Amino acid sequence: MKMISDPTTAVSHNQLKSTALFLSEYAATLLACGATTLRIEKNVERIAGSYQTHVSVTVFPLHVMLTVWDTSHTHSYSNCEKIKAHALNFETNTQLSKLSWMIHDQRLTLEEAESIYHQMLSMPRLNPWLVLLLVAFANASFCRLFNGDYAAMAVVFVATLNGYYIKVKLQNDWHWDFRIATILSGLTAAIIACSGFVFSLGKTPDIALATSVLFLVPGIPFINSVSDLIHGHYICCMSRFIQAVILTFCLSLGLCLALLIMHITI
Amino acid sequence: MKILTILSNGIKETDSLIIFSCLAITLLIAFGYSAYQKLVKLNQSHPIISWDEDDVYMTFEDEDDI
Repeated sequence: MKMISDPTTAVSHNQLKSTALFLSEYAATLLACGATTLRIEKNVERIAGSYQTHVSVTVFPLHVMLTVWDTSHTHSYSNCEKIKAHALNFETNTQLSKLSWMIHDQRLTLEEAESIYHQMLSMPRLNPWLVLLLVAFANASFCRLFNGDYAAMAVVFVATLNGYYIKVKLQNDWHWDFRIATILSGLTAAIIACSGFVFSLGKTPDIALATSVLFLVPGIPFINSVSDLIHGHYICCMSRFIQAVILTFCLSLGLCLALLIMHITI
Repeated sequence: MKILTILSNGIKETDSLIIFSCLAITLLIAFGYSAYQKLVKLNQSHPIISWDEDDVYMTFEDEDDI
């Protein structure tokens, strides 16, 4: 059998292939950074349109499946990209959205777009010690919002410093399972927050204890799951919701264990 | 309106110990490994404890002077 190769088709196929590979990686990264499915669809369609292609995206719990078509809908290329385990990063999220507009407005070639994409991903994150301090201040502010006094805020600040540090260390550096890391982090934060009762610090030790684990509440998955629900992405909605519920259960387990250990009743 | 009431069922002696243990564990996780590395480095430059196969030796600074 003789194979006939058409050079124009080969070029078109290679273009479709590289576009599909770039877009699937782009979509998987956006999803890992905490973007909603609606934003991913819009950005990917914007980029695909700039390269004279059509795209359809399907988001699964652990994968993104993407098919890129040429304008005449006669030739397509599909790719399934695994979503990498990645910490939420709204800075990357914003940068990747900007990239989609740059491709659209400045007519960047695929090679240029890929180069900028890799530059954006290699940008350093905020200093982890600064993040630790900011999270502790934020949680102490939560305590104040619930009418906690200054002693309770100080207790929550120290508890959050400890709990968040343990979570980051276990999950990111030691690569422990995120559920175990969340349980141990909640347990540590809640036990330290009990110091308000043990050492009689301030007049609102109950508020200190109740707000000490709020930094573990998975707000972004909950919000994104509602966004996905509204826009009809039910599989992704269920996936994010279940993940958020599991994290909430783990932090509650840590809190309950701390209450048991410290003989505190609700 | 108070929705939730949290009460302590009496403070026990071990409670403060548990709290301090949690703080100590966090400090150990944070600085334990780097402190260990510094001690090993110090021991290499001014050997106090050294080992060879199954034998462990203790060296004192005064012995070098003799």
